[in-house]
Formats: sequence, C-alpha cells, structure tokens
Amino acid sequence: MAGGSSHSIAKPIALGVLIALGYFIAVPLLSGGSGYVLNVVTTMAAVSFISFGVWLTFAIGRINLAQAGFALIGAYVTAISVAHLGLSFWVALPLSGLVAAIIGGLIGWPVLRLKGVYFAMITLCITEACRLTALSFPGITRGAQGMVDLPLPGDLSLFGLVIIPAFEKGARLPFFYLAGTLMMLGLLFMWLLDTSRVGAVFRSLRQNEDLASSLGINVAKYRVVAFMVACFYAGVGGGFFAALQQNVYPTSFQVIDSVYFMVYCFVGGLEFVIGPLIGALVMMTSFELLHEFQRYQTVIYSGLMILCILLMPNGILSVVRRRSSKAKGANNA
Amino acid sequence: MLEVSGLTKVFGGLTAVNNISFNLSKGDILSIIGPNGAGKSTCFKLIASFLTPTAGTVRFNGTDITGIGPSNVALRGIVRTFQENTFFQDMSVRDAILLGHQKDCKASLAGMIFRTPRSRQDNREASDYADRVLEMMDMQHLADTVAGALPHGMLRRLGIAVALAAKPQLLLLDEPFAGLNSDETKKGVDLIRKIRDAGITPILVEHDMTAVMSVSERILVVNFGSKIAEGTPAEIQRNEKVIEAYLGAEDEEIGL
Repeated sequence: MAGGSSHSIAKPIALGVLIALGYFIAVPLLSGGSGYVLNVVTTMAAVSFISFGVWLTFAIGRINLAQAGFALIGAYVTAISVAHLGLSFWVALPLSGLVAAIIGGLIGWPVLRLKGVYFAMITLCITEACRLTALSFPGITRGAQGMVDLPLPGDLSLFGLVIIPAFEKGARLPFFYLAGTLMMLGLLFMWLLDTSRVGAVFRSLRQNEDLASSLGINVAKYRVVAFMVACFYAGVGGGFFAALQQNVYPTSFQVIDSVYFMVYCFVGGLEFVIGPLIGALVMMTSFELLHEFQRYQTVIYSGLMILCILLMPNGILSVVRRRSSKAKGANNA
Repeated sequence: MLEVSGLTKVFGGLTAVNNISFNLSKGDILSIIGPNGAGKSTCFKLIASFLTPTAGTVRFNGTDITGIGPSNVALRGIVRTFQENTFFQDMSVRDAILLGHQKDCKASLAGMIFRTPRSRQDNREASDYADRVLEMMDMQHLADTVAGALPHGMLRRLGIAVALAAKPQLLLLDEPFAGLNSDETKKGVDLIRKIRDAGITPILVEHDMTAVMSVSERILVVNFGSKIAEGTPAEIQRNEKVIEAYLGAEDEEIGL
C-alpha cells in the first residue's frame, strides 16, 4: 500500500471531483428548496468532517472521546474571534482548527501514552473539562448564557476580488456549500494520508507500538501528529457550527456528541476512510426518516442501531467488501 | 563496535542484570546463553534501550547510547527482534518489510502525504530494498500474505526480515530458534551466517544449545544476572562454572 498507491492518485481524485460536483448540483435541486433537507445534509456533512478526526485516532489504535471537547474549543475560538476580536470568519475558521490542534498536541503528548479503555476514559474527561472550563470563565465565554447573535460570515476577498460573497440572513445554501466543501477536502486529505507512508506508520502503531519503535519509528511523535490532525478537524468543525447556529453554549458539544462521532466511525467501518461519512449518512437519514413514528422514533432508532452492530460488527462497508471479494473469488474459480 | 560495561538493572529488590561487561567487534557472531531467568533478555532490552539500566553504559561505534530510547537506538543501527512472535497482524509481509525502511525516508511528513518527488524516490528505494530482503529471506512467494495467516516458523522469519529491512549494523536476535523444528533451526543457522556475510553483526540470545554451539564464534554465559564465562564454543563446553550452572542437563543440552 505504502509503495504502490502513490502512482495512482490522479484517477481517484478525478472521480472524487466528479462526485463532489454531482453532490453540489444534485442535492439543492432534489431538495426542491426545502430548508429542512438542506439543513439535515449540511449538518451531516459537518458532523462527518468532525468524525474523520475520530477515525484517524482509531487508525493509531486509540478510542477518542475528546472530539466534542475540541469542537467546543473551536466553536469558542470562532465565536470570540468574530464577536470580540472583529476577525473575519474566514480567518477565524482555520484559526479554530489551529488552536484546537495546539491544545490537542499539548494535552496529547502525555495522555497518548495511555491505551485502550484508559485513553477512552481520559478523553471523555477532556470533553467534560472543556464544558466546565467554558462555564468557569464567563468574562470571556459568557458562561451558561452562551455567546449568541454571532455575526454571519462576511465576504472573503483577495486583492479586491470577491471569492466568497457575504452570507445572507436566512440563506441555507451558503452553509450547505461550505459544509460540503469542508467534508470533501477533509475526506481528500484523510485519503491521501491513509494511502501514504504516514498511513502505513499509523496502522503499524495500532498493531504493535513496540515493534514499530524497534524499527526506528518515533512512536510518540507520530501519535501526537495523528491526534493533532484529529483535533484540527474538531476545531474547524466546531467553528463551522458556531457560525451555522450563530451561537455557542458550553452545552453545544458534550460527551454524547463525542460518542456519536465515534459511533459514526463504527457504523461506517473503521477500515475505510469514508466510513465516518457513510456512518453519519446512514444514521442521520434513518433518524430523520423515523420522524413519522413520533415518540417511538428513538426506540426504533436504537433498536436498528443494535441490529446494525450485531449483524455488521465491522461496519456497513465491511459487508460491501465481503460481497465484492466473494464475487472476485467466484470469478477466479 | 559494541562496548558494554558494568551493565546493571535492578527491579525492586531483584538484580536482573549485574555488572555485565563485554565487547563485540564487527562480524563476530556472539551468543548470550544461560538458564531461564538468568537475565539474558533483560540484557538485550538494555542494549536496545527498551529498558534504562540502573548503572553501566552501552557504547556503540564510540558513542554512548545508554537509555536513549528504542527508536533512537534503531536510527543508529541497532535493531532487535522479539522473543514472542511480534508482528503487524493485518499487514502483508511486503508492507511490513516496507515499513522497516521508514527510518531511512528523507521526505517530510507533509511530503509523504502529498507525494512529493522526494517521497516517491523514498518509495522506490523502499520497494527495491524490500525485494532484496524478501529474496535474502527466501520469502518472495509470501510477499502478499497477511502476517496473521502465516505459520509459526514463517513468523519467526518475518520478524527477522522486518528487522533486516531497517538496515541494522547490529542485529539483536532474541531466541530466533524458539519453537522451531530441527529442520527449520538448521535453515535458521544458515540464515544467521548469511546475515553476517552481508555485513550485519548478529547477537543471539538462545536456548537451543546445538544451534548455539554450531553458529556462534563467541559465547557469553550468564547466570543469576552475572557473567560467569566468555569464550569460544569449545572453551565454554569445558568451562566448569558453565557445567555447574547447567548441572543435570549437561549431557543432552551442551552435548558433552
């Protein structure tokens, strides 16, 4: 994988661009101007973007429940930057990712020594600690009242040329395009990473850290890099939601969100870069479709989830792959 | 090449390795032997920096490498294998060997991800070297097999292959013949000579006395953490302290 795939990245990227264009044109058309559908799709795209980060920490063999905490950090960085510091949203968004990544690096360095359930527990605590920190500094974060009425993203212009026009009040399409772009770019980077040598190193860390270090691989460095990338995704995603909802509360991202980000990875399949996206797509659309059932919605949804895990313990995509490898086997025989 | 002096490791009240010193010059096949629990493997871990010694130093090619950490030791040219079958479960043999080349890659992290010319060059070099290792280990036919599906004997071989892929100057083999049948052991002995002839100096920790006696040029005997003898296989077989340490088993095991 590390060696062969590097020559053949052009074709998949071309295919990806086609799919992306199709998505950007088809979804608004199919939604027929329904704000509800666009909202769901936008949220799904942004949520899968954040979940890519969780997937990456799975790739190095760590169960990461801190993602919501770092998303909250990103959300506050965006909110404070645009509301208090007067920065443009387009600066604030990458800045949110950077701040989350740096904090993630500082916390990750000592914490990533832990494995298995211990790492999961400490990351769960990190999410909770982020919420409590937001509550404890009302001077900056306005505490439980939250930061509300955040300005919508303004225009992005370079050398007087307007690249992205200012977002209008009530318009849903701009956020749909922004979330979609984030998701595509996020997926592209993850895929490049996974198929590169770095991806192979990450997989080696998941399988045997001692062996990897005996080969001269700086295990601590690579784990921190993976965690920082994950936190960057969380920060940018959190910043996006702050702009989308125009508000941030300490409860905007909580432990339950961390769990959801993780579940999307599981449902889609941990072996596949696109797993979190498939997981979020399947879970969020099925939840919305079950809307008909009113108060039974959650019960049926949970039942389906249990069935899903029982029947497809390695995620939905593993079933697809099993099918295709069976077909291959049949052809060869 | 390797100078170990006064190496000591204390775990709580137990002195696992006590004041062991020895020198090794390039191309010598050295074996460390001793009864179970004598401290051989601990000695290995101290050299490979998987453990930090309580006292003593390890010098390699003139520089002090005591306790600098496993990956740094590997970067300087000392690579170890593991006593248990230690491998990357889901990786093919070839992918695992390619990973051994990681430390010699010159591209940056971002360069690897975005496929700069430098990283493509790295990949070509890794691929060529992997082919050579596969050939040397006689494992070409297994290149695409997933490690988890290999039999025990081949896993031992894979362990050595992956270590070789990291281009060591000094190769620490922790019980390379453990659990192998006599035919596989014989092949293993030939392999170790082949590795030495390729310019890599092997050190073994081993229990299989027949193999040790036939492959080693020098033997170091450890008992209760201390060095009790050092010499050629013939000298070791005559050494009284060694016979005493192995008392009761000397007939079959040392081959006296």
